[in-house]
Amino acid sequence: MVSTLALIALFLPQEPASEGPVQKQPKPNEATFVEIVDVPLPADCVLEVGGLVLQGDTMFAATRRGEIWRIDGVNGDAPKATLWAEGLMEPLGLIERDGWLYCAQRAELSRMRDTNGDGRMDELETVADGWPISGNYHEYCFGPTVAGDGSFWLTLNKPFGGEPFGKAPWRGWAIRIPADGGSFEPVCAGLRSPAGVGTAPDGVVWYTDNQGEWCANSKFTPLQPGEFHGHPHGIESCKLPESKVEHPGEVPSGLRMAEAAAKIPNFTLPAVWIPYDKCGRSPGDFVWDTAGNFGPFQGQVFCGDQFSSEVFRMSLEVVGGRWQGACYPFRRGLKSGITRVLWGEKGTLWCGLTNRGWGSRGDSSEGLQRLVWKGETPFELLEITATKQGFRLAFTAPVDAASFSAESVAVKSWTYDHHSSYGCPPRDTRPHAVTAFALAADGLSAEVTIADLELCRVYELDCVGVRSAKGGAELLHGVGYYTRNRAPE
Amino acid sequence: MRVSSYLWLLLLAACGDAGAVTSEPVAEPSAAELAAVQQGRCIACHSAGEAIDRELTVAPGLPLNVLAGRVDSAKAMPALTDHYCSGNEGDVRSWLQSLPGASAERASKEVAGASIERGEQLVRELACAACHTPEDLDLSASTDHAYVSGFLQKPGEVVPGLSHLALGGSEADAIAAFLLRDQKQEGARSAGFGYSYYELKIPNGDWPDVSGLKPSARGVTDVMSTAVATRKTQYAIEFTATLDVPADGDWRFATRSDDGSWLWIDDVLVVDNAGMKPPTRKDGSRRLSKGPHQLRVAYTQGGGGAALKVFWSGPGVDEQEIPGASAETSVLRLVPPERATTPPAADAVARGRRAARAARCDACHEVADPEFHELPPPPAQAWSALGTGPCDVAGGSTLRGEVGALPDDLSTAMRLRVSMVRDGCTSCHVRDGEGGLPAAVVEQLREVEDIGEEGKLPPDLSAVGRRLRPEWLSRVIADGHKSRDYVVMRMPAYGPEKAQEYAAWFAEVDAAGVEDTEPAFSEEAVERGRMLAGTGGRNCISCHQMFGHDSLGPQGMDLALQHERLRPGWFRDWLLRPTELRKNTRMPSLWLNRDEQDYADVDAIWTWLSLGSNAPLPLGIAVDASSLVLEPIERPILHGAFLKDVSARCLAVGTPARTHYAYDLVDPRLVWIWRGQFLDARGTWHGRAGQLVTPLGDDWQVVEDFAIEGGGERRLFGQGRTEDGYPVLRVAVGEHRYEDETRPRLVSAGSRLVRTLRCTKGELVIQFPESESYQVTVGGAPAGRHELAAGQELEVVYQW
Repeated sequence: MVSTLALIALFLPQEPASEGPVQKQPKPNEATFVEIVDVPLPADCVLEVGGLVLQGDTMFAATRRGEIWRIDGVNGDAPKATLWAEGLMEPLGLIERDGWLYCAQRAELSRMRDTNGDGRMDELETVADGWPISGNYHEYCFGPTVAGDGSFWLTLNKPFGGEPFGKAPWRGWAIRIPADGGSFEPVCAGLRSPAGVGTAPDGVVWYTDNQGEWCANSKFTPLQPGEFHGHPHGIESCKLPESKVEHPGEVPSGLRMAEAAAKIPNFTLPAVWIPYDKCGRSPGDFVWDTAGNFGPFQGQVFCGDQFSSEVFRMSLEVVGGRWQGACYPFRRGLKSGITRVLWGEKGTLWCGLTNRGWGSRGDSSEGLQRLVWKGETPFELLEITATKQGFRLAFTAPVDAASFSAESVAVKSWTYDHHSSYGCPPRDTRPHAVTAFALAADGLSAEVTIADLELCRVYELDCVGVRSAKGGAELLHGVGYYTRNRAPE
Repeated sequence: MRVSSYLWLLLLAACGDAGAVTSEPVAEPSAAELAAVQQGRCIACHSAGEAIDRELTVAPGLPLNVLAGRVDSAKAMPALTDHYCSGNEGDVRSWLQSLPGASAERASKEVAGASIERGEQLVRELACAACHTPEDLDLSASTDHAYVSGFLQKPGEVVPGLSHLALGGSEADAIAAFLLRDQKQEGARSAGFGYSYYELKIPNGDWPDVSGLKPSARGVTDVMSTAVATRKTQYAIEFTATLDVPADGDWRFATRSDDGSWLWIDDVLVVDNAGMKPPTRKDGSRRLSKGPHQLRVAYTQGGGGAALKVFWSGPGVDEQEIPGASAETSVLRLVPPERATTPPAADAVARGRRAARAARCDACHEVADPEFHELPPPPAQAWSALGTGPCDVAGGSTLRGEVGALPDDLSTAMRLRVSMVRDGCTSCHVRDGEGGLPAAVVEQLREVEDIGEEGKLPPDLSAVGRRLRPEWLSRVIADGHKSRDYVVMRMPAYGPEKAQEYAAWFAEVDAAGVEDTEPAFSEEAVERGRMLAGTGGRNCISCHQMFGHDSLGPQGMDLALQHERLRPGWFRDWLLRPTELRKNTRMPSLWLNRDEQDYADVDAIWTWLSLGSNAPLPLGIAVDASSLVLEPIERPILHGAFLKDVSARCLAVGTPARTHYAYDLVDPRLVWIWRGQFLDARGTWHGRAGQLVTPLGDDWQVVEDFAIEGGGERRLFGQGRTEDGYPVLRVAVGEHRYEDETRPRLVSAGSRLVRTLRCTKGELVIQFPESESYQVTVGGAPAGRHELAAGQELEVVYQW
């Protein structure tokens, strides 16, 4: 208990009055570098965002209520929202191509336009359909994203619970639709709740999946035709002639992740495990920053989380012929779960929000916000890459060499079990000693050698003791989680 | 009319003048005189012929077995003296004490803390004193709570044929507590919420049936939360308290819960936050008077996280969790007086039985004593044998007066007047200047809408037979149906037999020869009527509700009821000259010219209302934004959903003409047609959604669509939208293609759906199946086999 005397002491001036007030710098936080801007919308515009397309100052937002709203003046203080289309079935994606807006409804890929210019959609074409739905709410259809070859990709969620119109094939699959539509190819199996699907700068399609049964932890992975991502719900469809995935056989429950990768045919380890509650809980949509929107993080991936209402970032590298990488916290504090992200004007990331049906951090259940890069670069862990003996850590500003030591970086690692239970807590968690370190001459990177390295594990590197060369500042977050499936030769 | 000898019995209590004796015989009895005979129950013993007996007979008194339970009270002996037992009171009482009811145990009862205050408020607001004397309204000495509350809820089970108010269980409990207020009260009152905590498997988002379950714990808590639970999952909690509402006004309640929660005020569900879900908030509001109200909150926890918060806000109270200080949970125990247990002497019982038989107790009361009925009945004089002169009732009675002649039968007008006295109608209602509530009772009534006396008093029944359709009148009287939500008093239910009788009488007396004509129907008139009703017209919705949607001002009677309720001629008269027809009405005179245009306007509004559940909503109506019930007003609403027993890929279309339809898009075909309310989007838009949707509204028909000759799979390849928002399905059958567009068409007293099938490529041969529950026509003839070449179209009309 604080005594009254101590309380009084707190209010006594600490410095002689003649020296004037102390100019104390507030400790930088996320808001110092990235501002969250809310978009005011009228009450009748319930924007449970499923997809976003920006055309100049006009945003088209597809919503989970099956509507598409046209929001004019979206960058300004008084945007005007009008209903552009309605009666769609929970569109969870929206893109523009050749003057059409494309969205995936639950059971079809559609494209729409306003031919008479009255501000409302009046023509809708079915681009492709033929994947049935059983009538379960969780049979979401995410996308489309356009791959490098012009084809459309969708990810099909698996159902939870009742299937009133009968179990449907291809649930938990990714499907590819030719650029001119008309048919689809089921290309990858074993997805669970693949809420984000997007295309990398090289044209390859990636997706995020949400932790649950047969998905030990949330993840981020490229979709390579023929691969199996672990969830057995839809594997019976592998026997259908259209399948591009070989049936993996009976999927055993309880294998350690390295063992699962070795034993299950075509089983794909994720490029990045996104550790539960360390980096959100339920990843949604993601974008690559190819234009340097967010300062030094150019080239990295920015992903919204549907539960924690934060945007985190990921860095990727090819090791042993496959992608792997790390994830890092970036900006928390949006008002609801983030389902869609979209680059806007330079330095602006639009975030489409909804948390209906699952709940999220924040005080709203839907809406539209944007992150705005304020221009200043934080002192931050820029990226983690793998080395043969450990990791290379890059920083956004020079590190103080005098204070850098083996204790500056706290390292631990864990793995997961591939099993039928809902999610998997970290298994076999171990601390690792940093046995050697080398700080680059410019202070912008450091290599750390780690004892007891193993593959198929997630490494947490927390740069607790790293201080900036200028001013001895702490890193803004200073932590990253690297998925080490392979090691460089 | 043959006039036999008659006797005027003027009830002293009814007339209030002990000395009033008619000095000269009157040829024709007045309504008051007839009512006196009726109220005196003279006819129970002195038959005046079948027709008159029927009119002047009233419902029986309480069964003697019930009254026997009260003979130990101080009121018993004087009552017997006044009930033909003068001189034999002691013996009759002994006999009554021998009946089973006399020894039935009177039980004490625990009721909610502020029940007496709430009961007093209800007695005041429901104007019980219109029919009951202060003595009637104090039963403390003679019975117990279980009996009174049971009687209030189902009086017909004690006395067959009694009318009844639709009292809820907690209302009856509170009124009963008030009526027994002088009984011994035990128990103290304390602040907080009473709770019962149940451990049970919670299988779904509904409130489980806990009746018959013993709570794992009970107690009182200052805050409604999950803190009272002793395990983490699978339980339910029920909180109850008397809430002390600090001011009159609109009160908003909300729960935020994981999983389900529900909140009732005075037995009305105000917040429905059902479901298995993460913490979710739901709101509801209710207009409450200052004072005690019964609060009940139920909460369920299945698996996963658990949370409950309960909020309120209202006049002078910012939103906050409902504080324990505003709630009272204590139980009040009402203890009835103990019985005198001395058994009656056998000889006194036998004498009493004989005296009771001689006094003809069974004429008015059910007597459950076989030995009583074995005694020979005393002779009863017919009315005509009573002669004339002063009434001198042997054996003691409060009845005084003069005997006169009764006619063989009554005119309908007289019958109606007498019956309205008998049935208590005129205790509350005025008709032709007679009857109505005493001023002292009116003063106690509560006003909830600012619309003057009309907002508080039961309606004046003058000319009611010319105003209301007989079917509507019958419904009101039979079920106690109330069209005026703003009148706090309630209409008792009299049952269908009386209701039909009254409806016919009112029609005959008030509306004989009145010809009601409906204006000619046109869609233009509908549109004009709807326009006039809305904010851009004469703004009826500023004071009137429509289909349950709030008006923009005081909540006047729902417009949607009026066509079914009112006679057309009256509607016209009323709109054109409201203040002439009802002095002091708040209904404004909006058509002052009374020229052709005014008549056309009024007829247009009537035509619009004549569509009933099809009447399009007026522009400017405020639809509750928190509701997910979809209301098409200006344009159709398109709703993609899982339709029950159809498919998981459907398109439902709601139209402003309140005539709706749905397509299956998997195998594109028309599947449903219906009217009235469109859909509740909750199944598709709430929580995790994905519920199988069925229509709201009426007249729902499941359609069997046409077949395509030569077979071939139908496939949706696109959709258009008309400029006014209707969908146009584009369907391929092999190489052949057609468009399918459906729109409503309003017709007299209803609507049709008109479907246009347009062949756009190849050719189409279609065959409509026969249907019994709806008609499908093409050019006025039943739809059958039709051929369509590219460029041709077919108009198909659905009528049901």
